Amino acid sequence: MPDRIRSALLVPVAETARLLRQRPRRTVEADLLLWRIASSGLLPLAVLMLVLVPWGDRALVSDPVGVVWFNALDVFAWALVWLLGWGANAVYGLVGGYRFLALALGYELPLMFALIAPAVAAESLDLGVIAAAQSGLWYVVWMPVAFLAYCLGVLGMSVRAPLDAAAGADLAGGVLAELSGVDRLLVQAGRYALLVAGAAVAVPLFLGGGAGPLLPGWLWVVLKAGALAWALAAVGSRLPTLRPDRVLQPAWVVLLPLVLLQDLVVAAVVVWG
Amino acid sequence: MGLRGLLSRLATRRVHVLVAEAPAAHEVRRALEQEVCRRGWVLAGAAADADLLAVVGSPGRRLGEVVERVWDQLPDPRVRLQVGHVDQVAGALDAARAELADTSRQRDAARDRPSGPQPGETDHGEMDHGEMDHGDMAPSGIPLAEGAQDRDGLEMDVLHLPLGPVLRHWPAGLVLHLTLHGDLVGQARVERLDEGPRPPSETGPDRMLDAAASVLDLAGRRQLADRARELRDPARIAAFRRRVLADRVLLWGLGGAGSEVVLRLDALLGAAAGELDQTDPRSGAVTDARLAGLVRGRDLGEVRLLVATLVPWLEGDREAADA
Repeated sequence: MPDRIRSALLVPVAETARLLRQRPRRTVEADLLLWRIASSGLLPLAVLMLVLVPWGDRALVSDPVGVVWFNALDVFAWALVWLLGWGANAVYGLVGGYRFLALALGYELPLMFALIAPAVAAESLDLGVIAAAQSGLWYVVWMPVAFLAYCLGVLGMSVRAPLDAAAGADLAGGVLAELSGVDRLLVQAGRYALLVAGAAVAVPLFLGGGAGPLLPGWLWVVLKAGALAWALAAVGSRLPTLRPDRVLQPAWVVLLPLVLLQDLVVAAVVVWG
Repeated sequence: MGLRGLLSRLATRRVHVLVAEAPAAHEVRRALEQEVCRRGWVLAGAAADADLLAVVGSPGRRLGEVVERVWDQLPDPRVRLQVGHVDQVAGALDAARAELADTSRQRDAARDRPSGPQPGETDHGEMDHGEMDHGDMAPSGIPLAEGAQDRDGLEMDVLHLPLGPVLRHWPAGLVLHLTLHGDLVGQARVERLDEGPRPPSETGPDRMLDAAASVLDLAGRRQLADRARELRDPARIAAFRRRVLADRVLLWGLGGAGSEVVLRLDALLGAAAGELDQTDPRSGAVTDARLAGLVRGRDLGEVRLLVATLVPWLEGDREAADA
């Protein structure tokens, strides 16, 4: 058993070594500039999200409109994943890019309205203020629909199952199909980083920020973010890859009205509660 | 052992293997896939993700040409091997890994290789742009995409994509030439590389389960697919069939309970469990012309799923299939 754990822990190290040793290969008439922007852009995007997170009582960048910043950043993922597919100048990548845009249409609107719920409840767009406003009750308890839509959005922007059709096995990897070497390493690291960053931002939004017994606030943020990222990956791996043409209808006809209803309930509670 | 040795040892812990399967070699292919998974290695979906090109069986002239083109697309460091028999698999993989880890040899090989793709000579992916038109509007000899209306009357760029023959979960030696509008299939033409006598369609439980596992893999359910491959006992296969059909999310993602893909997946599992009536229309084979008709108007993902459900019949003899 320890041997199995050891090899499981070595997987990321071995993959990193493999990709660092690999010479990146190019495709015919690839749009190298846009392709490189896309492959190297995901990781900085995740870092820009992480600096907004209040670790305990202080964020690296404490911004009065942190929620808007996060939203603006997650829309950047649209451009980057699309360019990743476009830049390679090959069919699988291009179709992967199309698929991502179709999925993004499905998850982005519910995500935007999900972000509104905690902001309305805390009467602030500052992630620190939102975290502090949950001293009585975590928002996840009475905003489950918004939390769900948010989690779906995080899985979508990090191109993870079940919203990973853009990188699906049926497209030979889709937007990842032509990537090799360090370019591939940056993209894969960027996808994991986006998952973690999305989970970390959920902590001040829905999970009470640094609130928790015994341990210091920053450690609680790390623990909650880690647990949520793990849970998202675990749930995702048990779900099939959802095809974009199947996702759009329930996302707009069912999820979007439900999230709006959630916003309405939150607003009603704030006004009359 | 120096840093470089450590790096090359780590880097070859999880070799990514791209399999090129010649017709009538599916047993060797399955043995190779099992051995790859047993070692904790990875089956690659595309040339860019592969360190090792494993040619299974003996390819004919046309498939041989395609294998050469795919080999050109593997990034350095790279190795290729050929196996024709189940017993050779483990040894061939050991040798390939050793060659992959030999840094100085790999560096010499990479030095002699041009760094970029060769315009005109290489195709991207397994892409082939049909008639090469070296006009002004053809960078690197590739004509720009032309527009046409798709099935919904939308003007879209038309892309030409040959699916196969070096592709996971795909019948050996089969190429499906598609014209795509976005990801919708417009026209489809079936080509058989190195057409020769083929064995009659094999419909044993192993073949059926392997095809069912391919469908599950393509649908993103890796764990379920791995379980399908390990099944032996008919009663357990039948239980597995009921479980898959009860998975509402999976069926919905595959296109809905009554869709062609779900019906055929059910038929594969039913045949493997010995529960399927011999006269069931779904267990009948599919001719190449019928295949071309089946894929028209569907999206690319659906085409991949559908073809995966048909692998046992598409690889078998066509005369037997027509009967």
